[in-house]
Order: sequence, then structure tokens, then C-alpha cells
Amino acid sequence: MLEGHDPARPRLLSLLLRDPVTAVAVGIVALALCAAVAAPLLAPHDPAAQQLEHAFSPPSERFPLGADHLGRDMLSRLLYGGRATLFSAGLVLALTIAVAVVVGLSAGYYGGWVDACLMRLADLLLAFPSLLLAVAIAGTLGPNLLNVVLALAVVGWAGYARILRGMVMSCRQEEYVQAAVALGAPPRRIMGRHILCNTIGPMIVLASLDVGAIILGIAGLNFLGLGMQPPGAEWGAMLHAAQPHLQTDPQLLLVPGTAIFVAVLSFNLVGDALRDALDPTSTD
Amino acid sequence: MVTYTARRFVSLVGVMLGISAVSFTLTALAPGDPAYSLLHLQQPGTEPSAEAVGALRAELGLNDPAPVRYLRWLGGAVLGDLGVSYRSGQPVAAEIAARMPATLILAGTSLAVGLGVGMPFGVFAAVRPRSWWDAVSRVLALLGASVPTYLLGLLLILVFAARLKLLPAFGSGTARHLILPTAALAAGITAQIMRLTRASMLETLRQPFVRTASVKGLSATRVTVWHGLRNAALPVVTATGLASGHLLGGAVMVETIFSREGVGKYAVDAIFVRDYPVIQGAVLYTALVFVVANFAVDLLYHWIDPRLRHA
Amino acid sequence: MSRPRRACVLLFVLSMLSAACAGSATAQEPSSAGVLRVGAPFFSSLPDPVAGGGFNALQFGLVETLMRLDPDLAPEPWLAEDIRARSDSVWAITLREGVTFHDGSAVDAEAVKASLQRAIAESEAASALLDVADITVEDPLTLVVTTATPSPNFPGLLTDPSTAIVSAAAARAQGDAFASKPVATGMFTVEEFELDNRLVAVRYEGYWGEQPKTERLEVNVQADASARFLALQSGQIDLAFDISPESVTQIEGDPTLRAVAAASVSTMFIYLNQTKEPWDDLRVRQALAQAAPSGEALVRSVFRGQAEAAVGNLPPAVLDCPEISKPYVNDPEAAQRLLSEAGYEDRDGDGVLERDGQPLTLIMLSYPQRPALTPMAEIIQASLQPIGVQVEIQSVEDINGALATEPWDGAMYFNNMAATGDPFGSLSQFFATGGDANRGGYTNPSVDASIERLRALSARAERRALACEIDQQLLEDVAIIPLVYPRYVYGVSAGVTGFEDPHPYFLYFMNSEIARG
Repeated sequence: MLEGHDPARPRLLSLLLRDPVTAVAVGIVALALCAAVAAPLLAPHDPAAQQLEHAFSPPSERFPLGADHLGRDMLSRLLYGGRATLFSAGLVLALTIAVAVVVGLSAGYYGGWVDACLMRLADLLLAFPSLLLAVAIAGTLGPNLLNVVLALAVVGWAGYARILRGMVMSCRQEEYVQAAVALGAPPRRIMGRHILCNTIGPMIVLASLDVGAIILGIAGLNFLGLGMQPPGAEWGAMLHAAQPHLQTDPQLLLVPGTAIFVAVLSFNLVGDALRDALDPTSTD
Repeated sequence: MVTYTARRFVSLVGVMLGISAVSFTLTALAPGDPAYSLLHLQQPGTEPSAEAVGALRAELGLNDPAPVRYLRWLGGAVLGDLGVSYRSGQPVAAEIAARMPATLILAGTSLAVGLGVGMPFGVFAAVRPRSWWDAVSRVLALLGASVPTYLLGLLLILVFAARLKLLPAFGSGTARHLILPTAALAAGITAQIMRLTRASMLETLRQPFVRTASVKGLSATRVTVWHGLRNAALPVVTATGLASGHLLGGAVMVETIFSREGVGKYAVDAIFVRDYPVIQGAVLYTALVFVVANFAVDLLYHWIDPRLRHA
Repeated sequence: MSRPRRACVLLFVLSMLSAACAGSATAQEPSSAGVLRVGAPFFSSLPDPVAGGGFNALQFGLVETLMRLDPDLAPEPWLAEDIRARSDSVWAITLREGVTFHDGSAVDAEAVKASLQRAIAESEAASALLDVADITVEDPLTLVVTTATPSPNFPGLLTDPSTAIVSAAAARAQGDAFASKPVATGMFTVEEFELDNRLVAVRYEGYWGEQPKTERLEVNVQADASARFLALQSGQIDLAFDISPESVTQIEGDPTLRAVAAASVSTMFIYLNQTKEPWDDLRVRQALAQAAPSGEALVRSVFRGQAEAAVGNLPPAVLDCPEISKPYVNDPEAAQRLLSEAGYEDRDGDGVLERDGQPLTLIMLSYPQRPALTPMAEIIQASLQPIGVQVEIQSVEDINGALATEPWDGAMYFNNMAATGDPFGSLSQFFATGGDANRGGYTNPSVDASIERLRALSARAERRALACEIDQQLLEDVAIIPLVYPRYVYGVSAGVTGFEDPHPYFLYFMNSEIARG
């Protein structure tokens, strides 16, 4: 037993980095996250600053990726837009996991009618085509990035709650948990210490595999006009604003569109690689 | 089989009731006064008086408590009356029925493409692992899952309708109108089905019975294609059920971009003008289609799988 | 045993799918002979003039008014043969012979009287406009209208689409169905109508005037201007209304399309909600007017030259006032001074002014059907931000509904100002207290009095002078903030004939010559 050496960690990372394609994807994900966090430092201009005389100008020293229809710098809007999109995705993920944990844990641990009720609710939500329900919720609450986040979280928790419940139930049967119960440990402690710690890890990983889909959902609702309002920058909202100029200045569409595509692709690749690394028997 | 169907049907009814409750709650939570909106629609340009609004509220029973209103709406819905659109004054049920075919055609064609393209690719990829076929299909599957439907739709319009002028950009009515919307919508579905078929085939091919069959002397193709596929088809059937949800959701985007008069676009337009009876009706209807599709898939699955049939 | 089962299942699924696909292949493209396909941004009210105001119905040749406006926006007889003033409140209208409604019944004085009475009874717009005391039938082709107050511009008022002539008898007989398929006198009758979606109209063979060359008119409603243009480009429609300036640039490079522009009779402006604080304070409105971007800047950036910077509230084609001047020009410092005079300060340093703890935020509504409005709103937002006004833009699909029911402070708006051909129509609708289109609640009793005086004035020169005075006062009061006069541009496919010199007012789009060659 070597001291201070965790055999699991290097294996995961080396697995991820072994395949060149996946390595690139990991790099892109890291880059995107850094850029999102550091947007205020990296952006050359204020994303809302309009310089009408320079509307539609091609890439130049002043505007590295060109300017949009109101003379705003595309690079700055891309960086701040990525911030909005990625942070919202993170928020959706956090909310989804939080709700799923509460629901899944309660249902799995207590069983009985608590389980039946909660799972019925989850089934109900799963019965709706998610995008339509998200559009309906966001549309009803009002066009606002926060409402988009809420809508996607409401629509997204059910699947994870079911999975977590399953994991909790099987975990509960474990001998050490039975022992804790027999010893009279309080339920909170059992749930927190024994069950949650063992299930939360796989849970978070599972959810992370879906970040790509969450990003698509956020950008999609923004594209329909439901999220960030002008002058805010967000990738889907930028697509929405680029539509009237589709033919004359397609770069307004292609810049945010490529960003979304590359980001989602990278997250999906990393997710696939993670899944392969954690579960070598899976044939995906 | 019969008992299973009966049990699933009962549960289906339960889910439908739940859906109707969620649908109703959605619009009950919404801001604005339906009576005011209705009056304003009938006399555009004028401000409805407070008395008129109050009278209409009483007439429509809007002052009753929520559960009463819900039951009233539910009663109407069961009989096929989903209320009247604020915008057009026409019955919602009739408007949805008129738009159903466009959405179903789009979804059906996309599903057909997904199955027709995704399944063969998935099978070949599984049968010839680590070949270029496998690599190509994995790449395509990944791309299909990553590209936003709306972006693909806009790009298709840009290239094929505006620049090359080959295909129509909006509307419905002929097969040509269907090509671009289907291409946009089918990408995601095809990717999903491809991956699932491949995974499922790979798993099946590892099963002992397959090796047994090949030992018995049956030709290789016969073994893989026939025996393997039969068993691999099961998860694909399930996937089709799940995919229909994504199809209906993606149809919303595609119909909006391509201006196809389907239920998806109808719902989105209603959301933007706050036409609540329509939002309620369209969400309910779409969810029902999804649930019924899954129900049918469930039964199909149960019927195909001999293990379950005799359980 | 299970093999045939599975084959059955597969077969079943495949046949279902192919049946679904087959359904779409049977519909045919309509034959092109005699069919004109148009893309329009709106058709959001029912064709019956009493139900929806009649604008779109008249635009597409379904209904007609007794009088219409000529290319100089002066009233000329249309359904009527002649109109004569017997005194300053009595008008004799002579009808044409041989005009029939779509159901074949005669358009005689009794029918016209019934139609006008129906309009006055059921349409607030018509009754406010016409102000009729009595209608008498003198003989089968003559009727005499007496107005409650002297109304020298009465012929002009009869051009308003809400007064269009329909068969009141048919309306009674058909009940609700009449609203979608009115029995009227226009060159087309409704075959199919879906609100804000589609109109299919066919030629009326018994039309009194020149038979239209087009046999069948299909109007597709497309709120999005670039979608309309795309439909034109891909050949799905022959004519697109109100295309965006970007599309005009594109047409220049495309030999199969033409851009046909009409001089502007419309204004794009900002409504201000003067029923709530602080927009009821003249100083605050003045500050907004001084901080707003200049019309020239908007014309250059958003319109690519396809517009004129606004001076007065009405464009010169409607009201020509050479002596009118903008009281408030773009001057951000003056705007800031005015706001601090009104008690606004930025105490917490967040860049937004406050008064009594309330931040100075402005909810600005906009709508997508007129593509230039939202980019202009964004430019205005950027111009108001430096002086401490925080603008929140909300795009709504149903602008008129939103203005009536949602909370708002400002709204981007486009409207033609040519109604009735005479400034009185627009001035009373938009600026008189309680006017039909006075959505911001602007009110000034002395302006109301001037508008009433304008109603009764008969000499054209005097009318013009008084109207210009009123317009100047409206600018001083900042009733609305006019921005630009946009040109109305149609995108036309090369095969369309009879549409070289459109009427400046898009209400009179339809003519009998227009056809797809």
C-alpha cells in the first residue's frame, strides 16, 4: 500500500487523455469553462457597447470576430454569451441534482407510500415531452434567463430522481447499512453518511453526461425568444437576433452556432469517455 | 397478456389525469385575466369596462375555486371540448385536430428515416467492430446528438432554399416541403437509434445462444442478422417510444422555423400571445400522444418478448 | 412460431409509417395560371369590417368603401359614383348602377344605408368617425347623410375601412359565419380564411369594375420579414409585403426579383404611457426625446437608407409642414439636466437614476412583425443608458393586446398616418383624448379643441395650417416620439405584372391589373 497514492485518480485521467480525440474534447471543455469564468478579463469590449458605424464589419484588429448588426463586438458577446449559457447550464444541473437527491433519497429510504407518491410525480413529469413543457413553463413565467433555468430544472429532475431512488434502495440493503439501522442510528445519519456518500458520486457523474443536452435546451429556449432579453448576450439569443440577417450576414449566425455545436460536442465526448471509463462493460 | 394490458391501461388513465392536472395548473398560475383578454379580443382597440369584465368572469365561472374549475375543464376535455381560443374564437379541439396531420407526418417521416438509416448503420457497426464503418457511424451519431436542431434547420434553409433554391423554405402540402424539416428533425433521432441499435446488437452477439447457433453450423449472416436482430429489436422498440418524446419536442422547433402549421408551432404561438386555452389544450394533447405512444410500445415490447409474455 | 409474429410487427410498423408519408405526397402544388400568392405580415382581424376594422379585408380586395384615396391622398369616389355637399352637414351620395353584393343582391341606397347603420351600431371606430345624425334614402341610387356637427372632410371619412359596405341582410342571416366570409362588393370573395394565417380568395365574376386578371388570390401570413422574403426567393410566393432593408440589398443582386417602393405614409415612433408616473411629467418626456438617437443615425444603421428621419409626427406625404421644427434635438447633457430637475439622482452609483427610492426603469415593448423596430429599440436602450434610464425590452407577438393588458412604459410602434387621407383622421385617432389609437393616454385639452376646430374647417390651406400648428404643439408636448418615416418596400417576383407603380398607401395594394404573368 503506497502512501499518499490514490490508484483510482490517475487511471481515470489517463484513460481520458489516452485517446487523442477525447483529450482535445477535454481541452475544449476546460477552455470553455475558463473563458466563461474569465470573460470580463478576456473580452476586448463591453458586449452591449454599440458602434453603429461599424455594424456588420468583418474580422479586424478592433473586432477579432467581426461586429454584429448594431456594431457590437462578436468576440466579447461570444465570451459573455458563453458565460450566460454555461453558468445557466451549471445552475440547471445543480438544481436538478438537488431536487433529485431530495426526492430520490426520500423515496428510496422510506419506501412505502412516500415512494409511491414521489415516483408517480416523477412518472408524470416524464410523461411530458420535455422541450414542450419547458417552453410552456418558461413562456408562462415570462421571458427571462432565470425562468428558462427553472423550466429546465422542473422538467429535468424526474429522470435522475428515479435512478437515485434505485441506487438508494439497493444501497439500503447493504449489510453495513442494515447494521447501522440495527444499532439504532438516526435516519438522517444513515441517509447522509452511508447512503448519500455512496450514491452521490455516480449520480453527479451521470448528470454531467447530460450537460450537452442541457446546453442545447438553454440555447433552444433562448433561440425561441424566451430567455435573455436585449442587450444581454447568450448564445441562443444571439442565434435569434441573427435570423433576419441569415442571408446577408450569415456570420452572425455561424459564430454562436459553431460555439454551441463545439461546446456540446466536446461535453458529449467527455461524457462518453467518462461513461466508458467508469463502466468498462458498457458497449457504448 | 390481458391482465398486463389491463393493468397498464389503468395506470395510463392515472397518468392522463395527472397530465391534465399539470396542464391546468400551468395556466391557472399564469398572470392576466382571461375575461379581460377575451373581451379585448372581441373588440380590438377598445378598453373593456370593469363591469363587462366582471360579468364575463361570472358567466365563465372564473370566480369559482380552482378545483371546481379544473373538474369543469376536465369534464369538457373528456367530452372533446377544450375551450375556445382567445385569439381566433374557434374551438381549440378543432384547431388542434386540423394541425395534427402536419405534426404527425413530420414526426412519422423523421422516425422512419431514423429507423431506416439508424438501424442498418447500427447493425453493421456492431457486426464489424473497429472497422471504418463502425468509426463513421460513431462519429455521425455523436454529431447528430450534438448539433442543435434549430441551427441545423436554419443552415439547411440558408443552403438549400435561399442559396441553391432547390427546396421550399416554409409551409407544407407536398413531399418537397417535407424534405428540409425532416432532415433537421431526423438528425438527432437517427443518432440515438444508431447508438442504441449498435449497443444492443453488441450485447446480443455476446450471448451464449448466438455462439451456440453458429456452432450448430448456421451460416454467419443468418445467425447475426436474424437471431441477433430479433433480440436486439427489443430495446430499439423501447427507444422508439422514448424518441417520440424528443420528436414531438424537436417538432416544436422545426415547425416554428419552417412555418409548418402543426401542433408544435400552434402551441408556441399561443404561448407568445398568452392564449391560455390553446396552451392548455396543446400541452395536454401532445402529452397524451406521447403517453399513448409509450403505452403502445410497452404492449408491443411485452408481446414480442417471450420471456415476459408467459410471466 | 415467433418468427411470423415478429415479421408481422415489423410489417405493421412500416406500413403505418409509409401511410403517413404517402399522405403528404398526394397534395399538389396549385397550378400557376391566374394565381397570385402573397406574403403579408398580418391578418389579425376578421374580414368583416365591423368585427375587425376592415383594413386587411380592403387591402386584399374583399370589401370596398364608398370613397377611396387617390395617389395624392385626396378622396375620390369608389363604390359611390359621386358625392356632393348640400350644406356643411348634409351630403348627397349617388351610387353606381349595377353594383351587386357577392350573393347577387343589389347594392342600392337601402342596402348602403343598412350597412352604414350597422357599422355605426357595431363598430366604435366607425361611429366615432362618422358622427352621423341621420341617413335618408331619396331614391334607389341616392342617399342623404346628415352629420351631427359640420364635417367638411366627410368624404375623406368615408374612406375608412370600418365604413366599408357589406350586406347587412346577409350578416343578419348568416350570424357568426359572416365574420369570416363577409358578403361584400370587392373583386374577390373569401373561399378560405384562417385568422393570422391564410386567406384564399377567388375572383368575383359579378364585380362592377374591371375584372381582375388574377383568378385566385392566396395570402399567407408570415410575421417574420426574413421568412417572407425567403418564401419569395424560393418561389413559394410571388409578392412579399414590407420586406426588410437587408432583403432590398439582396434583391439588387437577384435578376428574378424586383423591389418596388412606395413613398412613406407611415411613421415609426415610441408610444409613452402617460397614464403612469413618471411619464406624465413633461420634463421626463422631454429628456427622453433629447436622449433618443437622431433619426439620421437610425436611417443609416437600421434602414440602410430605406427611410427618412422624422421631424413631425406625420410624414410629409400626408402633412407637408415646411415650417415645422423639432423642439428637442439629440442633446444628452440637456436630458440629464432635465431629469435632475425632475428630482432624479443616482444615489447608489449603479448607473440608474432614482427618485423616492424608485429606479427610473422603462419597459419598452416591441414586436417582430416590423423587423426594424427591435434593433431600433436596442439602439434607444443604448442611448438612454448613459443618462441613467434603464430600458428593458420585451418583444410581444400581439402588440395591441399587450398595450391594453400588460404593464408598459414605452412601446415601439409603426402605423400609417394616411387614414382618411386628411391629417384630421390620424390626429384625432392618435392624439385626441380618448382617441382610438391614443394608446399612451396623452391628453391636452387645448389640442383637443384645435382638433375639433380642424374637423369643421373647409378651406384646404387653412386645414393644413391648423394641422401643422397642432403637430408642432404635439412635438412640444412629446405626445409620442417620432423616429423615422420608413419606406414601404414590396418584394416582387419578376413574373408579376401590373405592379410597377403602387399606390403610396398600402391599404390600396390590390388592383385589377396585378397578376402573375
